[in-house]
Amino acid sequence: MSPGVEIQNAPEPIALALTRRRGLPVSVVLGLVLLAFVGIVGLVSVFWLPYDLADTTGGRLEPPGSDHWLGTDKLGRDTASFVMVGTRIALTVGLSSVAIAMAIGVIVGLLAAFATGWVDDVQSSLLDVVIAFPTLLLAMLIGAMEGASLTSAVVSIGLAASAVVARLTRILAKGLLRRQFVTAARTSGTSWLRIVFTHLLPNMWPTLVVTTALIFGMAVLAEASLSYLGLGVPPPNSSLGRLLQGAQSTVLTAPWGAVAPGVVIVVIVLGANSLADGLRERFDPTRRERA
Amino acid sequence: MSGTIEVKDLSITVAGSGKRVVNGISFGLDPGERVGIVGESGSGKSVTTLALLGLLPRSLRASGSVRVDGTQIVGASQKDLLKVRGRRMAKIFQDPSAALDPLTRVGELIGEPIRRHQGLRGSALKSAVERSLAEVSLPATERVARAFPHEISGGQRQRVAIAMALACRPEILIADEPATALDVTVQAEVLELIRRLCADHGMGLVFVSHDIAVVAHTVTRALVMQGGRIVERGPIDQIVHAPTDPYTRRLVASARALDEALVTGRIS
Repeated sequence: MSPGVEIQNAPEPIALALTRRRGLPVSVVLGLVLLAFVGIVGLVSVFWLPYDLADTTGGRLEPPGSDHWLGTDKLGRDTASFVMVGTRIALTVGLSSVAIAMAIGVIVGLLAAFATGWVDDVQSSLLDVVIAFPTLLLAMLIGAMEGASLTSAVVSIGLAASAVVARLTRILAKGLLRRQFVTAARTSGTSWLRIVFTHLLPNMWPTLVVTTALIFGMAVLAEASLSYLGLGVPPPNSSLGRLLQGAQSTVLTAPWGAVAPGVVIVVIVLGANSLADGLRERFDPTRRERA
Repeated sequence: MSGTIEVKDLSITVAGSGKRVVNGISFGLDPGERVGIVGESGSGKSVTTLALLGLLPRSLRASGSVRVDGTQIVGASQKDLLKVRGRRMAKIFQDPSAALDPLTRVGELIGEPIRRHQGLRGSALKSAVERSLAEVSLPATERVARAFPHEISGGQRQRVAIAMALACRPEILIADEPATALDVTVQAEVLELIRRLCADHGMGLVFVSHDIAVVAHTVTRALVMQGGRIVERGPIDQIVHAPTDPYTRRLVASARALDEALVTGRIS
């Protein structure tokens, strides 16, 4: 953002333009653009789809064209429609499980940070056990007990991720509690609750944002893996993982069936990570360059 | 009974090993009095100030009695401690950059205790913050109020810390090496500020330092601590001019030697 060199009238890419106007890092803008794109696709799928999911009137394994933008599958169904619904499901699972993970994880982590002695030892080992337990295995168990559904996927992914958040929160909070500004706050008579909200959470927030995005990406991947294995959101709904699995046998003759859901997964994960990375830089005042 | 401290037979032990870091000390502070605690590192002066506020880390145990305005601090509940801290007693720390939350703006740092203790909001709070800034000789401008701690100088940071401590008009100020981390020129200014504020508000001062020269400039009475015990106590004139304890004598002699070196250019 050096003054002096001003290119007049030259059309700027939208990301660069936003970066210059609002002082946002490129990565934030990139992340927002990618997530906005999949978000819009998911939203649109609620109201409108090119074809009904049950519609099998297309030809078998048609290549992308004006009738079917992303081609058709073995049964003559429209891949674009399935990808759109799958995107919505992936975002739903991602957002819901992140919400569960953050809500449980931050509260448990903060409580754990204040624990001492044997309580501290026991709860930190418990967290380690939960973290060591594979997410997919937990999801399979819950799926097997309760039947595979959107809820079981969200709950199992959310619970598994909440342990990661709890451990991170505990470590961050423990570190901050040792800092002198917390002692200083206590000296002036601030209650612990107040310290949590004015000093702990604001100082943890950049790290938590990054984790939120990482978990969001991880949750989307986990949902795809689950439905690939047949343990995710059941038919008649669509799911990116099941689309990948369905297109597996025809990947050489009709690659678009696998490429389309794959690209959407990549876009979501990349968008979330890029946004998180940029936000951390934007919101940490000690790292921000001052003009 | 406002602004008094009464310490009786205070001992502080390390929880696991039972090692004593403070060994049965007693002293008092009268309203508006300025008392210094001098001693080398590890003499127990800092943990003593923590014990005054009930802020000892969990690894340290206090026994004996610490009364602030008659309220027992040793073994007091969180609720009682919250009543004492900030209102009756406030503390400033050695390193102001560690004592200020790096993510909170100066105005909010000072405003938070004012809001909590005086219940001010909005523009009333804003002007109270401006008064606080002016009181510690900081420019009461929007620029300072909106600055983050890392954007101002070390001396200004300590002034902010002092403003935070004074926000609730405490009766007693505890200053633990408040000028040690600062440049020498800034040191004198900050010490002068502390002395002036104590006089203006009739505030008692417990001033802790390893530097007997700094203490001599600031307080009227002093305790000398060594190895967790008080080895000498009395009016500061008497301690500086006629020290009786061998450790105090060495302390005063070395301070004098440094003073002389300023004049002669040689250390005797």
